[in-house]
Amino acid sequence: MVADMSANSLVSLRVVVQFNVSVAFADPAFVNTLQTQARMPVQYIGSVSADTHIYALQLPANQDPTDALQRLGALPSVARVEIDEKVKSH
Amino acid sequence: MKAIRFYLAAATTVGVASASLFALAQTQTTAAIKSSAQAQRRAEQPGSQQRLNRLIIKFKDGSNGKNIAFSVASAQERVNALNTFSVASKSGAATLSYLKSIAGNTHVVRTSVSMTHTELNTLAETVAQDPRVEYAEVDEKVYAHFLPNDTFYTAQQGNLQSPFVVAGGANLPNAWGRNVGGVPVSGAGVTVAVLDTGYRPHVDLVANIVAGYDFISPDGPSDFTTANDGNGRDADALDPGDWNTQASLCDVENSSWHGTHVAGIIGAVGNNNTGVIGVAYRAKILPVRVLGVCGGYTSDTSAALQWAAGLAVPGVPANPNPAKVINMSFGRSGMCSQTYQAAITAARNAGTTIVVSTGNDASTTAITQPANCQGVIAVTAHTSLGANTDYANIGPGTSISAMGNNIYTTGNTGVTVPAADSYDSKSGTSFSSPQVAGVAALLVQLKPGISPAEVQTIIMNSARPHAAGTFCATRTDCGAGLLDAFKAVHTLLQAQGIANAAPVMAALPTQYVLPGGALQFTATATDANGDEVAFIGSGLPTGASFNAVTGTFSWPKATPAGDYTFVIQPTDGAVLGASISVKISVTTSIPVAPVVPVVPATPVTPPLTVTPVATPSGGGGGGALGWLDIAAGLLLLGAGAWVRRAATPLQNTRQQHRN
Repeated sequence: MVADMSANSLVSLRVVVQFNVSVAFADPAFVNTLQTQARMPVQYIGSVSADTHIYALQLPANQDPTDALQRLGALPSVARVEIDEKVKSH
Repeated sequence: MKAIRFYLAAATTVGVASASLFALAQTQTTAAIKSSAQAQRRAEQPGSQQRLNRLIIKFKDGSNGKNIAFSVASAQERVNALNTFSVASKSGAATLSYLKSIAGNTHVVRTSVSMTHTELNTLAETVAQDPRVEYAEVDEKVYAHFLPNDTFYTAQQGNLQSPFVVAGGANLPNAWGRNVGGVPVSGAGVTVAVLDTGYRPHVDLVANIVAGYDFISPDGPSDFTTANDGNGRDADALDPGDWNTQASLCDVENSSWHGTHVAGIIGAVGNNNTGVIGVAYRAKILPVRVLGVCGGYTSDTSAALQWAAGLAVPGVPANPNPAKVINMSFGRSGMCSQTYQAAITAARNAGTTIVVSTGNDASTTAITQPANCQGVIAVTAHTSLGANTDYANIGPGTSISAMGNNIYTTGNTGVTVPAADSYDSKSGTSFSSPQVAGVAALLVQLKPGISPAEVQTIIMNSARPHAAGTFCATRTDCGAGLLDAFKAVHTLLQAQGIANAAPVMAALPTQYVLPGGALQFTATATDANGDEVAFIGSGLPTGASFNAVTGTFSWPKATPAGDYTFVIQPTDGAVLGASISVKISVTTSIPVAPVVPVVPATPVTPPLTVTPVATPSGGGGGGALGWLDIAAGLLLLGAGAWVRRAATPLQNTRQQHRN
């Protein structure tokens, strides 16, 4: 999670979403669907593989993301949702 | 006590025959004290595909009365005659031509076509059947040991050395000494992906770099904090620096140049008279940038992992240089995420070996992800002495260990943005993992179609056991042991039917020394593969020492009197040769030894005398005398003519080796 304190106290939370059917993962209309479901701004960031993609959720800094993740996971096309954690060099 | 050494001097008139015998004895003795490292040469391996075109032929001298005409013919005529009568009908289109002479009846001939070792050996056998030929053999190519000429190799890269030099070393020299199809075992033809901070075009690295990719995507809308290059994924895998000044994000740190360091460990250009050598110094490095400021994302690293293995990633051009080995020196706590496991499984199924560091949290119960995922080689770190480091994570899933302290390789002087090329040392499991990745590349070179499972099995099964008494010696969660490149390469070569000859030791005569005196002798061995040979000694008398690398036994003050047996066994690091037993006699009854006779201007026949010679140090005691010396001395005694003589240069040489 990267803080974005300059604009209305929203922070970006990157999530990895794996779909169980073929979807137009980067299409604005499809991303709008995700946004509606998550009840917060969602942006396509990139892809991991053909069925797994990265999105950034924009949520208030003090908001627990669990509800948003559960809502996304409830979509029939979604196989799983995972917070995109950072790794560090050893 | 004043040291006394006795030398018998030899008369010269007696001795042409005896002198030559004694000279032989001396030659053997002198040869026996040469360093094995100087003496070794490597014969070409029969299994290689290199083509050869020379035979050595020794003709009979014709003294039995047969073939008199042949024996007086010129060397060229003799060789041509072989073409007519022996070779032409049995060697297809090949004919022999005289090249040069080695000795009176021994000549080097060249075949008209180059052949494999097997073919040429068959031809040699055919030629040897000719009644005029005493023997014929392949004129084997020999090579010096592969000793990299990279500036810092000897002094700074102990992590690559034989375990007899550095206990924790990865044992690369004899692995590098092998070749496949005439190409040294060096990772040639293999691409190794380095998923890290990107790379700097270091002068000692850039020649091995192939076009990579930058997989760091934005943190959020128009947020390139992690990327630190102002953009998202693109084809520029250069490392712009990963310094951080915002304590709210992570620790404030200078740029690490981590990726350049890891890449150098695997694939720094070798034997180029510059800097350092990589484990797989002829492998190609595929730099894939996944780590930036405060690390990198699970998603980006997983995408990069699959792309590096040649799999498709939406929005990213196809990888023109798929890697057969991938190194990932990063991680985070927690169980293996589904994202990582899916990516690893896909990459492994594509035939790519994945090597991951276990982390530096000093945990003895868990390693980080993705090292703890199924299907990777998880690498912890040990010290130069072979003991697990105090920072390296171990735990379930750990596969193997490699040295992790002060690993010296390519770097950069930049504190924030890049500056000049440099070399420096870093410590951590990040730097043990790429050594394993490099060895994996050597195996892939030897067997391009090798599976990741086979690579892992060979690397783990060939590991040296953790040293007795160290933390990991009795644990099962430290992995298989210490990385051993030569054993791994040897294992695969053996499976391919390419033999490795065991080193053969030269016999050593009984070593005599006065009680309280100093004794020193050196074991030597030859190795048909030209391997560096080390020695394992057992039965060391109290107060004595034995250098496993040089084979030198030293006993500064031999006591008490008595007979001892010291057993020495040679090894090339993969196999043991037959041992020899050296008898050591600490006694006041030392057999006398003669010296090499020197021909004086006027022959003399003085009576036998004995001359005490003080050792240069003035301390210590008796010298060690060999049976070869004694046998030759007895021969001269039988001639009944001795002279007293000052120490010759050869005597001085012997003294130096015995004090």
